[in-house]
Amino acid sequence: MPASAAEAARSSAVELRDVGLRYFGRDGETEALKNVSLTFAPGEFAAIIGPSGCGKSTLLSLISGVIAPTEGSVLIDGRPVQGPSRKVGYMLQQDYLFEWRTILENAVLGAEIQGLPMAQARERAIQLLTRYGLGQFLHHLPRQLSGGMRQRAALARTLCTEPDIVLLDEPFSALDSQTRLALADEIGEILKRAAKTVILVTHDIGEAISMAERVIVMSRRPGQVKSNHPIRLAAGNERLTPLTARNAPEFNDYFRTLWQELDINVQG
Amino acid sequence: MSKVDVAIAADAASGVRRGVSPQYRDWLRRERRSRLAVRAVQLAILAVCLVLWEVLPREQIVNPLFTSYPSAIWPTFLQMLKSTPQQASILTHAASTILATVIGFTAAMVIGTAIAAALWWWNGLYRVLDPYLVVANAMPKTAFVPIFYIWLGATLSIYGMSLAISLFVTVLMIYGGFQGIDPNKIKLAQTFGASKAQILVKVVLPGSVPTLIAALKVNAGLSLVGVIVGEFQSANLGLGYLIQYGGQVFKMNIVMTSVTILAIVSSLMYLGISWLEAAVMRRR
Amino acid sequence: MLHRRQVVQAGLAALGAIPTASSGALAQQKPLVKVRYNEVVRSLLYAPAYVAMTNGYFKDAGLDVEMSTGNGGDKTMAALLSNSADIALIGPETAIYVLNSDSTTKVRIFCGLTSTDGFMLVGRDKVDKFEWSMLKGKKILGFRPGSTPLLFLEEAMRMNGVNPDSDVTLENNVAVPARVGAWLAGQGQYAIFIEPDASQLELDGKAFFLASVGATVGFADYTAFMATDQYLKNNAAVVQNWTNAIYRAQKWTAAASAAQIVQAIAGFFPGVTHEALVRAADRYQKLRIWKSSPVIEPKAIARFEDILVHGHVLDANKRVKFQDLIRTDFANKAI
Repeated sequence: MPASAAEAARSSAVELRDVGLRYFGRDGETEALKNVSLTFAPGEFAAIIGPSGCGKSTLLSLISGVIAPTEGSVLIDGRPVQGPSRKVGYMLQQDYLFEWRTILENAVLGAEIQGLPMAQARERAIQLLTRYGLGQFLHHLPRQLSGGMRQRAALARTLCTEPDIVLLDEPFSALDSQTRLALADEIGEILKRAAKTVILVTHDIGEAISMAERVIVMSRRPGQVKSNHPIRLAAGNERLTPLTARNAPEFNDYFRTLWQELDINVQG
Repeated sequence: MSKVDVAIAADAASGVRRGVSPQYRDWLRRERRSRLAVRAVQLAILAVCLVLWEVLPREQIVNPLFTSYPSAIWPTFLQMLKSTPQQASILTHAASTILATVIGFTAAMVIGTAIAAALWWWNGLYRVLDPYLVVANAMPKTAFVPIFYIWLGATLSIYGMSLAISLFVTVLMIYGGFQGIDPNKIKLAQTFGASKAQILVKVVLPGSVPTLIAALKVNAGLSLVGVIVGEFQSANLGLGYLIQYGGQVFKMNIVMTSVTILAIVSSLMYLGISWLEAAVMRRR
Repeated sequence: MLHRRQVVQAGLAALGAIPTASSGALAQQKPLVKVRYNEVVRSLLYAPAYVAMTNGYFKDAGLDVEMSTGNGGDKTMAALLSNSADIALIGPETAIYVLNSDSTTKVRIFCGLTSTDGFMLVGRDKVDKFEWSMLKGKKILGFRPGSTPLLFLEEAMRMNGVNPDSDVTLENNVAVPARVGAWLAGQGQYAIFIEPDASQLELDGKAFFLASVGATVGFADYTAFMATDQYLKNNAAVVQNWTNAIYRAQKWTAAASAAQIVQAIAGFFPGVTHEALVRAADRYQKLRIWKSSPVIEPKAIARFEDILVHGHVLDANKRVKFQDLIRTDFANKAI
């Protein structure tokens, strides 16, 4: 455990300090998050799971700087978040590729907005897209691609701006299960190899266990941190992929534990 | 070679094997027949109308003074092509109407989009102006023709009419389109730190192109109406003026010829916009 | 004896003094015939017609007149041709167009009303001796292209050596109701105005009378009563009674003072000042623009067609013969 708050700040990529968020409406206020304190180390791959409506996507929005907390503070590399940061890449639930732009033009969208040098951005985008198997489709329109391909293009878009921290908001939920498994495999590998700090929000427990080093469980609304589970799967000498991780013996134990923690009340 | 044979050859050339079962051939044949039948009925309707229009007045069943004949249109058109000191060529009249219409709907699109953007930018402005815009849109602008005439004078009132009649519906349509942009696309841009201006230029405007085209279609038609109505009131140039003048001197052939030219002009306008739409939608 | 005779004489005198309306009513045991009458526009030029209504001459003639105002020659003629009106008051040019057309229904003029154009040429400054050549190079508020006010004005110019196509700038696209406003706003250096607009502008000091277009051009019937062949055939008695009533009104109007005329017709011109009406009536009377008889002269029609031909709204080879256009029997029988 870090010796002081300052040390913690220096060594953490993302920190949430006692964060709370309320929504205000004509019918009253809703408390979405309450007393959330979390720290994510640089290069860490963490997953957040929780019942629907517990505010896990909201957490990502807070970290990305798109919304501000009502209480507490969010820090990136020790500095309070003032708005969207270049260090953070955010992959939303769906690809939201602009149908009027080609795949390549979509991929450089972030670089365009951030005013990065476009020649290098284009180069990076082409490399990323090619690496993800979309090299033949650079000048195609999104409607010509399948769901899985589009999500890969979205990943290229997210990584084109070279963020240090990548937020994934249930990025596979819009895909069918075969694609989901394959994509989770690929994306997990890509991000780990690039040594990014990754925070994955998912409702799929298996996905969380197989991809992340640590799983955080949120309670139902108002979302609070319920528990924190480091994941250690017997590795041998090989690094486990999300696919092969499911074969590890510890997988089912973790699954059972997390399932019970989630306290999903189907009859409720 | 029939269309099917050409298709088979093309597939073979591209290396694709496509089955051309007898059932498929039958289906193609039935499709073609159905298309031809529709065309035949369309032409028949046109032919019947033209024949009635020609025969009924000639047989004195209908007073020819009120209808003229289709056969009078071409000779009248040729005559009206000439320019005299009293009357300009019909092409000059048509050009005047077209120019006023184009200026009107172009101005409506540009100004309408600008106003819609302002309403999008400042939500407070929208909330304040909303009821006024709804009322202004609901009012029939043609009721204002005499007022425009008094305020703007003869020529400008036509342009003013052309603009006013389409402006409010344009603002409402385009603003609606802006509001209809998927908020997640906007959120996506925000995650990259986009400013409001960048969101407007990179997300909202390009995403609203289908709405802009729809608004353009509405505008073009409305502006033409506005121009014609304005010309009825006070003009000495234009197709609306010719229609009114022809009626006054009881030369219905002038009226019918002008109406025919008007129909051609408006059809061409719509064709132009459809072509534009196809070109734009190909890229989406 | 004397007493009874005096009573009887007094009674007869009293009977003779009963107003014409009730004597007419006594004579009319049959109900009044309804006539749908459409005038092209509301105008002081048609004063005798309004007199006939106010003084009860139509009722005396057994006619119940239902008047409407068409607001346009084409609209009024359309009403006549489509049988929404029985008798119409329009310019003869409309009847000429209809006769030249393929129309199955033909229209004939049977009774005159206006002897010539009733527009006045006005300017912004007083002029001691007006010459038409003063118009050269100037802007004039004209009238709708193809209309008789414009045609007559152009003819008046031509007669005085001014070419309307090249010597002047005619502003013809001002909407009729807006013309006075346009003049007041400063548009044009000269203009033509109908009465009582011209008189009102003069009284307000906004315009000065320069010439009467009608007086310059000469007699050429400007507006007349007309009906379809069919109506004339089936309702000859009604048409004759109409013509008689009009003749009576024309005589009365020619003899009355301007003030008396205005008293009879002021109700048809709400919103017009009394002074303007009197001034205008006086002018029209002096210019003899109100015909004193329903008879229309061939010379006048020939002059009218000349003006149409000069104005290029009628081809020279399409001139209509007098006897085809005018039914003279009704007017001749009335006088």
